[in-house]
Amino acid sequence: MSEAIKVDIWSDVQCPWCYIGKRKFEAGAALFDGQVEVEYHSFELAPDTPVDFDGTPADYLSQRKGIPLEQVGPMLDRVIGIAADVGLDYHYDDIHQTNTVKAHELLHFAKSKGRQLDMKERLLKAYFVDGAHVGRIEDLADLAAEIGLDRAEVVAALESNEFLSDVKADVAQAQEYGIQGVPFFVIDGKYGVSGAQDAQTFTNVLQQVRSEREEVTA
Amino acid sequence: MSGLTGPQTATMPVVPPVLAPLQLLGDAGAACVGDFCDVPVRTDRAAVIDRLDSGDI
Repeated sequence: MSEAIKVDIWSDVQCPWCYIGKRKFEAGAALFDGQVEVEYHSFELAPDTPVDFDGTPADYLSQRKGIPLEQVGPMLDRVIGIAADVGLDYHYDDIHQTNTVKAHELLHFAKSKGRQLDMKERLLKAYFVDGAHVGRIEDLADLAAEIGLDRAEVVAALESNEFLSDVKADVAQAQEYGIQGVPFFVIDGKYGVSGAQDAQTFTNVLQQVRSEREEVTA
Repeated sequence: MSGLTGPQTATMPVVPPVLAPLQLLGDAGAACVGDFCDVPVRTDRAAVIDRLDSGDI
């Protein structure tokens, strides 16, 4: 069996296109008849956001970007519609805008336990679908426990910032690549795919990488 | 999603000493930049350098 193709994905927990892009990538990988190894990397879209932002995502966009509230609604409706197209039921009215650095630390903790993919899915669903808070340590520990991670161990790791340096290293690596927005996919360390593109795009890139490997070994 | 696995080696260095430039494939997909999530983004080093040169960032 040929070696798995590595896909490194830069993403943030409160990025609507990252969850949509995750679904599209998964659909593309499912169409590829080979092994794919996925690793998520941290990207903080708004690191200065307080853990407990007082307001809705619409308030947040309006206050931070100066976008009139009447324009924010249609923007969110568009994202909600595209999310629905890939089977995601976004509930923007229930979202808790927050700082995601602890969620990123948790993803690195989960990676150390071999559970990063499950944790990533749980965090995105918690934020966009369930209306859960993904910025507070206790809430994050609850979500981690749901997928079988040791709750007390999670709390200790997050309180001690054990994985903060890993988060910052991911952010630095993104800067090195020149990544400005997420989701961003790096396939086999040499191809970049920016944004939530169609599933077929991902399938094509994976097939291209495999073809190149076969040419090298032929 | 058969065929998808998580990271196999947690001990690998997170930041390689030198990153090869990426070849971008596909179109500019919808993405989030900063705290704004309604724009198609095509990210590459040349674009960053252009923006730096122009004083845009």
